[in-house]
This record gives sequence, structure tokens and C-alpha cells, in this order.
Amino acid sequence: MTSVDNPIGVRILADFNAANLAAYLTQDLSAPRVTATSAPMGVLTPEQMSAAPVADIAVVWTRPEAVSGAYAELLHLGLTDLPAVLEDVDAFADRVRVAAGRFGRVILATWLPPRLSVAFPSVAMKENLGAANVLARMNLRLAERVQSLPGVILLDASRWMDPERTPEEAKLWYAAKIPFRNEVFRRAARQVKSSVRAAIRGPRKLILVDLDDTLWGGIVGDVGWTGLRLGGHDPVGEAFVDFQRALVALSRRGILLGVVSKNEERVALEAMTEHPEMVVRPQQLSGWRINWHDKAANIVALTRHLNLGLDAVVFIDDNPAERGRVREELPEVLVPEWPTSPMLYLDALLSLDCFDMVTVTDEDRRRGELYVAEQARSDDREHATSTGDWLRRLDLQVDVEEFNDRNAPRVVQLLNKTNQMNLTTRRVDAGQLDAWLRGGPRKLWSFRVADRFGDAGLTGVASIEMNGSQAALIDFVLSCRVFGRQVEHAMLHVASEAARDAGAHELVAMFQPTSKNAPCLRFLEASGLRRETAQRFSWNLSAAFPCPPDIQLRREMESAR
Amino acid sequence: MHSPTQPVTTHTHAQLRDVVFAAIDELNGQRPPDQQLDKALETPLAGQDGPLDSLAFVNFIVALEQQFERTFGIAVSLLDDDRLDPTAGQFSSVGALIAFLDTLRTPGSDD
Repeated sequence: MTSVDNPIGVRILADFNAANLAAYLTQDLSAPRVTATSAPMGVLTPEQMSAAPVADIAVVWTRPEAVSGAYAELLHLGLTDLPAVLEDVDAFADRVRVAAGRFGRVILATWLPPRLSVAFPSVAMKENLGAANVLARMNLRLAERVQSLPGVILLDASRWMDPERTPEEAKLWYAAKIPFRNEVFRRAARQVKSSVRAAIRGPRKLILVDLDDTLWGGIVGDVGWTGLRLGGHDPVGEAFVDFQRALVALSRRGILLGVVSKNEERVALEAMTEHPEMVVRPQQLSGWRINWHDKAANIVALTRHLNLGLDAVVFIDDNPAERGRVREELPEVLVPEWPTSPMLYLDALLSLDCFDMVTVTDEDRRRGELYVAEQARSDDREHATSTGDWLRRLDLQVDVEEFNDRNAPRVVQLLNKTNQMNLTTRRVDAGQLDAWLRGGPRKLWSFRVADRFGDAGLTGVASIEMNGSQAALIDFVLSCRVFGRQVEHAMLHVASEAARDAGAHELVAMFQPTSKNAPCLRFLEASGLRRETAQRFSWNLSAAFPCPPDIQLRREMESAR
Repeated sequence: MHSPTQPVTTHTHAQLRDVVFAAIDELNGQRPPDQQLDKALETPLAGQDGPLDSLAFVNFIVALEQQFERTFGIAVSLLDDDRLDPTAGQFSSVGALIAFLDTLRTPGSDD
């Protein structure tokens, strides 16, 4: 388990000299920082998985001929025994499972073609004969075997390879048992780092784009929407459409889209609605600020409106002056350099390694829709006479469910991604969480929130640990999407009631400060819990913490495990 | 080592220095900030008290070969050369290494 602010320990388990990969990972200064070390060479041997040094993540990279003797025979002798090869793969997958249990998270590289496999290219893909055919089957079998293992990320290592072997690779191998040249290790390090970032911090959540010459070609205020370059028999117009398609594809994986543009709002929205080749329509946006104000100020306002931190934002603008202004004013916002040619926009977007994610949940796919509902909710709040009046009108429902196989992926995702309303910011994977729950008198609940504007999905997690007459609140996590609707109070009610039923006299919450969870502290301070020290809050369980009267609490207490 | 018939006489001392410095850049990409090698003639390399361990030495030599070929269009193979001894004087410093590489300039001057 890791704390959000500590460097990540990465242990490389390889059957070759992987010191160069460790060096590139350690020297990569991008967040989160990692310290990488190489274990002794081997194929997931017990020595490699021994305790020291402590690591949060294992990177497993092996050569196929070292994993499978049957595959090695194919290379050296031309003998093909596919069932034996697949048995070797299965045995290896079993060892990956052990490694996942030991380290919690494993980043696993697919197998790359060995040097010997390039002989006989004309039969390389022939079934039961070609080394490339067998290797493809090995990788597919490995993918099938590890895809359901908690905490295991399988990376496609073919992206790191050069099409041709280089002379220095042969020399590095014979001199130091290094099978790849440094460029391969550099690519591997970039992708491993991207996966570490995805596993630990999650992706950037919001892309804000400019309009003129960014989302489409031309100045809509000058040429009108009919004069824009977008689609049609026009290479530049086609490039803009592809860029928009890629933005929408990201939105379907849970990345929110928004617009920040200096334009007349009516004119810009008309273009987005009326242009027949437009892919990004207003209804796909989680919000926009289209006016003549400073873009940095607009970004702050829109991000705040969406309840996100500025470090969740990517801002894309063709104008270098605007990029420079936002970079200077809002250093947390990622402002990528942007090519001058629209034909390179798609590649520029795809090259950003800040949207990687280790899983995509239903909540991710629906996130854009959820934020549109939030917009309607927010508008409604402005018309309410008081907060109490607004909460009554919301018809809030909170469904409580114990931890189970169905909710596990989203619970784990929330624990690992949520920063603001997070009591302890502990980061765990599914295997660790399951082991923790089974390891003592502990309970964990998920909270699904809905109101008359829509279903916000599974957005809260709370857990307690019993210790005699005291119950400790271990996890208290709520998505920023549902802050301020008293769901927090309902969560405390559920935890306190369960603690009381289990015989505890007191519920204790120990706040663990990070650079981002001040909202949680502010909630605790105003909650009615007794503050005993700067970080310790408690509730006397002579009665359960009260449930807000305007929330309808529904329980599904049967565990589905 | 290169063939004595190959034309290797067009390079200059400055070009050789740039070759070594480029190899140092490549190696520094793997080293922490407090272990970066200075691009200076007096910077020690391998041998007694040199900063390069055996792995770094192999990485450095391979990078050096690549840079040499990139600059002069001539493949050299230092890694399997009999004289590749990290403790030998030619690897004691950047300056000594440049002087050693300079001996490769003239056909027949290898030994």
C-alpha cells in the first residue's frame, strides 16, 4: 500500500540484465517519481520475489525462450510442440499470480521475438511451424490467463521494438546480457511510467479545447459556420474531423470535454450544432466558457464548476500566446505544445501520455453524461430558496452495499483516484483490499448516489475496523461529483450504526493530511464529530450519527462474494 | 578494429571530442544528477577510482562506437578489441580516450 506523496518503489524482475531500464525509470523526473531496482536475473524465481527491497510495483519482463523450453526447442531445433508451449505459458501465468500477491501490482511485458526467430521469415506465420505464429499464440494465451488477475497490467511490448536488430544489441547481449539497445529501454520506461501513473494517480480528467483553428479551421466569427474548414474533400478539414473523433473517443473512456474560447457564445454554439460534419456537439461537453474574458480565468471558473482540481486539466489551444498565458498563470494545468499544422493535431493528442487508465468502469463511460446532469442540478440550486429546500427537491437516494465482486473494480478505482474527500488516502488494489477485509473484524461499504437529475453511480466508500470497544474509520472517500449533498453524513451514519451494532462505544476518524484532502478536513470540522486533536475526530456511539432526513437510504447488505 | 584500407583520415580532434561527449550524454541519461559525467578533457572514466562500473563501461563503449560510426561513417568494434581493458591508460580520462581514438585515424596505426 502506498501513500500518495511518497516515491513509488519499482522492482524489475527480468531474466536478462535490466539495469538500463531501471536507470531510465529512476531518472525520469515526471510525476509520480519512482525508484527502480533490478532483481537478480531469473523467470519469477522465489529469490526475485524475496522481501528486500520493498517495492510497490513489480515490472516483469522475460524472454519467451527463457519461459518456455518448448519454444526454445522450436527456435533451436525447429521442433514444434504447441501444447507444451502453452503449458509453459500457463505455468508462467501462475507465477505472475504469485507475484501479484506479493507486490500488489504487476506490470507485465508481452514477449518479443528473439533474435533467432527472424530466420526463415517466409514460414514465420505458418501454423505449427513458424516462430512468429507460436509467439503470437503465447502472447494471446498469456493475455487470457492474466486479464482477470487483480493488479496485473499487461503491456504490449511490440511497441518498444525496432523492426530490425542493431549491431549494438548483439554486443550488449554478449558483453552484459542486455538484449536491447537503449532506445528500446527508453520506450519501455515511458510506457511503464505511464502505467504506473495510471495505476497510482489515474488519468487527467478534463480536456479543454479552443475552437477557432483548434477544433475547426477558420475564425467562425469572421466566416460563419458554413465557411469553416471541417470535413469535406479537404485534407485539412479531414484532419480536424479526425481530431474531433479522437476527443470523443476519449470522452467515451471517461475523460470530460469542455470548451474555453474567445468567441460569441451564440455563434460558436450554432456552429457546433448546425455544422453537418461536426463530431463534438454541445451535448458532449461537460461545460464551456465561450466569451471574451481571460482564458486562464475561464479555465479556473469552469474547473471549479465541475468540482475538479486544476491538475486534472489539459488545455489545447493553437495560439502560443494563449498557451503561454495559461502555463504561466496555472502551472498545474497541462498545456502541451501544439503543432502548427492541423494534420498533426491527432498525433499530438495521441502522444499525450496523461490519459492512460488501467480499467474503464461503467462510471467512466457515463462520466460526461453525469456532468451534464450536474449542470442541471447546479442550475436548480440557484433557484432554491435555501440549501435545505434544494436538498429536499433533489429526492436523493443512497444505495449502500457491502464490498463484493461486482463493486470491487469501482471501489478500488475510487480508493486510488480520489484525492479531495479522502480521510487517509490509502492506495490499495483489489487483492490487497480483499486480504485486508478478510484479515480482521473489518467492513467496507460502497455508496451509490442518485437524485431526480440522474444516477451519479458508485461514488462513495467507507470502511471500519473494530478494536474492542472502539471502531476506527479507515476509508472515507467520496467523489467530488457528489460533494455537499449530505451524502457524507449518510456515510458516517452507516459506519457508526454498524460500529454500534458490533459493540463499539466510540467511532474514531484519524485524518491523514495530504496536499489535496483539505476538503475532507473541512467536512470533519463542520460535521458534528468531536475534534480531540488536530487530526483525531470521534463520535460517541450512544447513538448512531444521524442520517440526513432528506436522504432515502437503501441497503443491500447481503455480500455477493 | 576498422580495416586498414578504410579512409579514416578526415576527422579532426574536435570531431573526436564531440563523439566522446555525445557518448557521455547518452550515458548521463541513465545516471542520477550527482553522478553525471562532466564533458571535459580531464573527466576520469574507467580504471582505478574511475566513476564507470563494468556495466556503465559497456554502455559507454557501445555508445562510443555508435557515435563514431554516425560521425565518420566507419564501423569500429572496440568492445571485442584486445586492447579493451578498462584499467588501461586510454580509458583513464576523456582526454586520454580522445588521444586513443585519434590513433585510429591513420591506417596501420592501430598497434
